[in-house]
Amino acid sequence: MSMDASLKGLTINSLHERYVAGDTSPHEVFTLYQRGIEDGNKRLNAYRTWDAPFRPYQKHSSLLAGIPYAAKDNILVAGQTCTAGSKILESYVGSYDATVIARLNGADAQLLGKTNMDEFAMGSSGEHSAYGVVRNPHDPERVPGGSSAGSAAAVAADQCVFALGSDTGGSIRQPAALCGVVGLKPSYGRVSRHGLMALASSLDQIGPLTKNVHDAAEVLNGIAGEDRFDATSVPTVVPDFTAQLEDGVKGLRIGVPEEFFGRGLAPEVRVQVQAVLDGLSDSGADIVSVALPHAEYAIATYYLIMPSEASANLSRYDGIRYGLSASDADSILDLYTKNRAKGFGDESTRRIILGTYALSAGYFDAYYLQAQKVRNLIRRDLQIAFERVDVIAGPTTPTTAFRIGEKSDDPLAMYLSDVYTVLANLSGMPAISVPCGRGGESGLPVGFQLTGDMFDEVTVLRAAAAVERLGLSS
Amino acid sequence: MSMLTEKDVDHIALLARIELTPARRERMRHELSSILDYVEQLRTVATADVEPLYQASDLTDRTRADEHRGDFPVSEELDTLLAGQAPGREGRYVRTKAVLKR
Repeated sequence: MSMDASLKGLTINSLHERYVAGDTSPHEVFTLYQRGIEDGNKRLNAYRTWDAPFRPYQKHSSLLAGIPYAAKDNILVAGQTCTAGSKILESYVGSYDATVIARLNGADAQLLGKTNMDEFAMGSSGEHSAYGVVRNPHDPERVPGGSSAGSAAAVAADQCVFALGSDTGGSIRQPAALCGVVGLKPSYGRVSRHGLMALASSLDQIGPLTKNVHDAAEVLNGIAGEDRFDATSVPTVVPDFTAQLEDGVKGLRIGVPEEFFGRGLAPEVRVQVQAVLDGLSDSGADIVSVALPHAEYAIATYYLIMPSEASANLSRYDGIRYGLSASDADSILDLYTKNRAKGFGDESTRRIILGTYALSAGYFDAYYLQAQKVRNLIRRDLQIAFERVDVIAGPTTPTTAFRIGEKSDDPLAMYLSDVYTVLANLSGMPAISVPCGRGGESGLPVGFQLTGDMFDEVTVLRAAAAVERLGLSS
Repeated sequence: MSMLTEKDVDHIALLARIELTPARRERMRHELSSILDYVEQLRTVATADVEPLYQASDLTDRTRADEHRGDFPVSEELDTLLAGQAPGREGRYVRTKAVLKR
């Protein structure tokens, strides 16, 4: 791989310092990244496009100024192709900037391009893009995780300083864990979704994938806050998310659910997670056992609610106003069914049909409504736990990165890899995955997940920074 | 395992507006049956007194002043960006198959 050595491990702070010292210029760094992507993409396929224009600016007025970043290809950028990893949107061009893009533009951050992803953000492996499989930088025969596959791979391979992803059931945290980077899903409503292609509207959130916890906090500072274009963005105070990063965990109550350590958890993941918990305990944290009795129903609940909402949101892709269109249709109905058959891949089709079924007459109460009730019980479990603890900790994923093709014939096995991450989406709560070394058996990155109470990203980031300081990160 | 019938899958596929080839339909039939079998476990959870949680932000019925904000001024450029992407076009209009039969 011919990546420029000077880009290795660059973070927001370290690059900012080089700019301020006059060691390099934003344009020089931008050009180096563009070249690095050009070369690296043949190996990893992390990017869909990397032709974003260079945006000059006057002075380094913010930490994010001149910092090159990538955006998942379901986030709109005016004038740039936006495919969401789907053939149905192959030639679709964004007509406006998503609010997150507009805010990062306002801070003079530099977009590099759009990252590859599982089609419409459905998938936990990066294998479900119409534009080819994304590969894990730590082992190209293994998946990077999904659906923000390209965002995680690009950060891990130094093809950007940070990236934006979207997280509906773990799509930021799971690939972050498998690629050994930091991934943060903010609270539901914390970040505007204006300009994000909707998957499941009660679950989706945009968040950062970064090389360290500080950068995650810094990017969140840049993108958080109410937006008049998104009625689900919450008008709550936006704190400085970097404020408590150095505060440590002395006296912090960390809840550990027994349910997270049952069957299905790989021993090498368990060992790393336990090492973190021991380290946090040595640093003065109070490790407390908590119960989440309904957590075992989380996957079943999630895989009813998500496809139901997806089937409604994805009904807009009909090939009439934009997108791929069949030429051989003889009626409007025929045109819809042919366009959608040609345009959607297997996983999207599966979930649209599953969701349509769950919402159809005769099944609505038994499936969709029941799932929304169980969702309330799942959130209640977490709310009760947060009366006694400040954060909840455990593994991000049950295993390290699996082999490409290993689970592609068994959708249910793939769904189970989201077992620890969907809780934060169902409850709306913020959660982060932070690297905690490598599995003893596979030698691959392991992610440690911290979940916080609603809008308490500050405590989540504070605990995550303490995990990082334990020095287990690879 | 309870299996969906071919007729079930055809009916749902029509509601979902996706044409399925016989091979894809058969694969979907098996995969959906196994997923539905798995989610069946939710029926065992007692929820008689539980309200559904449709979203987690606790915001409802948000309104704004009924005034024109002018955020996206109508222009030829916006026309081109939006309507210009339609596969079937006629001037400034989007063209598609007739909805009603003659």
